[in-house]
Amino acid sequence: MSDERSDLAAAGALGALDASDSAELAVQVARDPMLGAQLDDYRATVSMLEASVAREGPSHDLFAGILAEIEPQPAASAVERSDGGTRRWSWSRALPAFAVGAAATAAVFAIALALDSPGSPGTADAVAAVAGTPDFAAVQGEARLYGSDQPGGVVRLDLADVPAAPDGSHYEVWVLRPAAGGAMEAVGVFDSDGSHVELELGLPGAGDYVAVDISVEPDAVSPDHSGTSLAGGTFERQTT
Amino acid sequence: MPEPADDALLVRRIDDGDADALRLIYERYGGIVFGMTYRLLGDRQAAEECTQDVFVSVWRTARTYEPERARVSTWLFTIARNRAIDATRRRAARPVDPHEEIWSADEAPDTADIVSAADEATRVAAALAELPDAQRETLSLAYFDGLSHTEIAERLGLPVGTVKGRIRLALDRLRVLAPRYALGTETEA
Repeated sequence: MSDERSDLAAAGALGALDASDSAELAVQVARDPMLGAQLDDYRATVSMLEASVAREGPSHDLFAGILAEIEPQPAASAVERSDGGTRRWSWSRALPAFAVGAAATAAVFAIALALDSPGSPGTADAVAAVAGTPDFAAVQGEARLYGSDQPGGVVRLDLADVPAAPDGSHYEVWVLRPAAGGAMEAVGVFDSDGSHVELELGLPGAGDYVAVDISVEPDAVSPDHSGTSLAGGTFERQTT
Repeated sequence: MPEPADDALLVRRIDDGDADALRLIYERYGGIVFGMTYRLLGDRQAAEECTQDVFVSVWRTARTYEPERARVSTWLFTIARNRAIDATRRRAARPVDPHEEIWSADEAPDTADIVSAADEATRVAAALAELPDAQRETLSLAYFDGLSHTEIAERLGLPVGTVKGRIRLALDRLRVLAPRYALGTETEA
């Protein structure tokens, strides 16, 4: 089969032919079953592509957003630390409102995930005293569950002395509930600049949560728990 | 495993704080990263946020890239894979907003399914990345931008026959390459 006819079949499978060439391809395929088979092969390859990589391009300004993340932030979006250093928000599009308020009081650095803050949290269902593991003994704080007995519950973390995650890694928050069959469930990731961290993260569902764990996760490996924990704690139900 | 020499050089420049080098890596692979995260997350905004996270991670962790372990593209797509998996799990854990087209916890795909789909996307993306630059550029204009071969010829200033030939060669090569990129044939970064 000539390269020219194969070229036509390949471009046709990709949907890159003009109307006249598409019509010409249809005529040739009707005359030649072998060309039809080749067209099917190319279509299978395109289908393989489409199943894994969407035929969509990113917005033209996406790289500008990346640059905004990596370049020093303007003074208006920076928060002065009590020791005189500067904290910079990252993943700013995902910053929950409650964290912004806390930042304005000049004591918080947090990177939080996209989440609609429910406003007034009411009374916590359960509270866990969070303590660092031996390698991170300075870490301390608290985790509180709100609305955990129904869909839409959240866990709020308030941690002090959280060091910056080691190069090439980040922190991930996990919760444990018997309904999940004993498996820890990841609820979000964050980083720190070595300061106070406040986070609010959605729970994976209603349940009787018994523990919280914060792991150290390499940026480019398995989604499973790394086995290295920064801190953790056990929830105690609050009596009403 | 041939490594485009300038990819590794660009990562070294990124580690030195060169944003232009990050732009070049983005121009080369950003479309593929977005395409794979869009397919995995099924949502343009989520895919853009994930793609942004991937390149911010590249900026912050360029020092950890080890050229002897994996191609830059493989390293990049592995980061994208993991970020997409994380994003899927986070979305499943979020409170359901009836005005937002996201999965509720009950509808969320099983983790094993997501991981499997992400592995497949990584494999196909790696095969795309290994195409010669001219073939990848031509294929991308047709695939991502929806241009006809005539429009691509005008855009690149090439004869139409050359464009059609590149498309055929690219698809022929992808058909051979993709099965060779089963995850694990290269060392993950």
